[in-house]
Amino acid sequence: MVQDFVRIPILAVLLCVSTVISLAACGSSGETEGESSAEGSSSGQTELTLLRLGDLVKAEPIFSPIIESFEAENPDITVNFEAMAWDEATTKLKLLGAQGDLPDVTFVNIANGWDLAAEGYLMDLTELFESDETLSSEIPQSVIDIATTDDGAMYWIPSATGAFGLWYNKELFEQAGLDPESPPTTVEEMISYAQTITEETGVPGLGWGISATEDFAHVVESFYSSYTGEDIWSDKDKCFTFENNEENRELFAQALEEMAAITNDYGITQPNPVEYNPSGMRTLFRDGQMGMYLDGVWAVKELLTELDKGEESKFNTGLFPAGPAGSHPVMGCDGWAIPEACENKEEAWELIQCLMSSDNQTSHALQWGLLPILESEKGKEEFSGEYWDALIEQESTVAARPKDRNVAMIEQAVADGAQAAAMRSMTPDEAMDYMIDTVKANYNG
Amino acid sequence: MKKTKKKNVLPYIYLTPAVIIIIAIFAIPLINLLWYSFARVDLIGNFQNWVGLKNYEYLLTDDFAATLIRTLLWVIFGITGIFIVGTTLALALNKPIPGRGFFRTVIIIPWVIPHVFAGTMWSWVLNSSNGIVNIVLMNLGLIEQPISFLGQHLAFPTVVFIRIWKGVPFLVMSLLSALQTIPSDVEEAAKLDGAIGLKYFRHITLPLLRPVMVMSGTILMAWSFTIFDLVYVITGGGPLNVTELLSITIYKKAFINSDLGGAAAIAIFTMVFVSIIAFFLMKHNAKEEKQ
Repeated sequence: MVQDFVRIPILAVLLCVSTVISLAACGSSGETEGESSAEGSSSGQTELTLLRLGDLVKAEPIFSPIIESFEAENPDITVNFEAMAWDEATTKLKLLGAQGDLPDVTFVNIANGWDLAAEGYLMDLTELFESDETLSSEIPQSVIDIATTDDGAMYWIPSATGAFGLWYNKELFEQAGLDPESPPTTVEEMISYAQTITEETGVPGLGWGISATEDFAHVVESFYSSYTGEDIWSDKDKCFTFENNEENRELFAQALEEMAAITNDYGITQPNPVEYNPSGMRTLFRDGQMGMYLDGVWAVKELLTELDKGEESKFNTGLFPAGPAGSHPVMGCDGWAIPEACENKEEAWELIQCLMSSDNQTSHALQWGLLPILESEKGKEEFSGEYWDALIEQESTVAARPKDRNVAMIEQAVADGAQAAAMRSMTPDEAMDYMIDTVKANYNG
Repeated sequence: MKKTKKKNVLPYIYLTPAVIIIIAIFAIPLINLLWYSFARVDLIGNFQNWVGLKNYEYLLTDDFAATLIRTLLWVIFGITGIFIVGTTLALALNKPIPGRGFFRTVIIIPWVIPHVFAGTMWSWVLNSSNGIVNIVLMNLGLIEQPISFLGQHLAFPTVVFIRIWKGVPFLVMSLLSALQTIPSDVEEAAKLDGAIGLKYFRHITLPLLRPVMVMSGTILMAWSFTIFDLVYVITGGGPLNVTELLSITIYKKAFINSDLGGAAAIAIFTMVFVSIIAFFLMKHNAKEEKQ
């Protein structure tokens, strides 16, 4: 009996030990895989891993044919394709970077890219990019500037770009007696057109969202750049460009005041803008419940049924409404990077060149909902719809989101401060001080 | 002598597997959390340097005080609402009413819906432009303009309401189980003594339900402190931080500010705070039961 009592706990301890051993065995199997991969390359076959952030179901049909043709042209290279959910990327990419395990060609977005670059996990691609005359002449200088740090380093080749523009409903323009071929070009015009639409049709003239999200931060940054002509964040000084510049501060205050007036005074928006993300109004716009709203190329896929009607389509785009310094919306600029720890950099660069070829880039852009960024793409039939004109033209005047590893924190501070100013719970000056103080308190250098 | 020693050792041997599991599941993450809270640690847990009590300095700021008060209000109003609605429903469903089985099943639905989906669903239902609630109210002519349920003034009561909706089923199920353990002769004896209606509830039902209520209340309190996704999906903590709870602050510190140390300090505080409240609640209940 006593023996039984002793036997049972010993059995339990043994079970625990065996669990630990089996877990350890799982860990060691990873090493075996790594070894086999290294063996693969020593036998003359180079294995590359290509990672795209986003949904695998969406990504695979785009990249499978590209990879197939690349492998056919380079029989000594095999490419394994992977996708990673956006939500997981922030922690997983950094973890892979720390372990030296980032895929050979990794798609990085701004939120993660600057952090990975600051940690030294990404290779500076400037020389490779500049040595490729075709590629470097194909990408507009404005986009190159967005993807390059103040000291001239480019850590990823821009591939997925988009910027805010103005989407408008031509039918509502006509009903309001406005010329549907002449969208507003300035902030004042946008407000005036919205007032006319609201008065003449009873439909809110402007869809407007001030929910403190990343999208709203981009709208605020776009207003800032359109009022001041500068990016909101100084990569060189690691601070806001209105922090030590009275003129910029004054102009930003004007921009914030105008945003507050749009929210509260003019009566041109849908009810309760605080509940809406700026781009979260696509459905209302699609259903004809607003005359105009600010959104980017990302809306194309969702409005495609209507846009495909060509000239009959009731939707069109205009440039982001200009401030005193012009029209300068911020551009989202994600792209292909090669990790510093990559053992096959040459092959990885070849793969990037293949991905960035005109046809492959067009396929990527169309199926994902991105801007055509290569000059050779812009005249293509695929981008001939009239709604593409402004979206493409906008590309040459874009501004940059903060080029900083703390970009998420900085943009949250911008969104929170600007929302408070828009709701008039802070004055523009208080909102700017809030942004500065919040960033200083949380900045991770 | 030898036998006694063997007997003394035996319980410890039995306990060993459980202790190993408890250490693995609870103690290691807790110790990890504790040392994070005294260090500068990045998002993936890379230790950078010791910072002493610096991460705890945030707990002395006005921002944190506002978030703590907001969270306490969320817990107090939420649990009070859950108890009022939950107790009423449990008492009703304990009666032999027609369709009792159906209602008992239906009432569980909010509990089994995942937080993220529940949050998304409510944000659609309460949406200013297309939300069914506003549409119905406007079609009935009860309001002229849509109500901004998720705006600055109503966002907090709205998320508290959703918390109540989500928490009621748990309490109903707990109380129903307890109500069914009350012997029918107690009820009959009480009725003979003239204890009916509220008097019966106050003097018979409530004391008998007290242990279950205290236990359920403690669990609901701990859950309320740690709920994140339900509120985050609906409001993201806004507008103007009016729905930012401790759990959302922890998330923002860790995943937006990449400050795992700061997030750990708030998490430790929350854990200690909830544990102290739970301890006193349980102690008070034990005392009451003794009396």
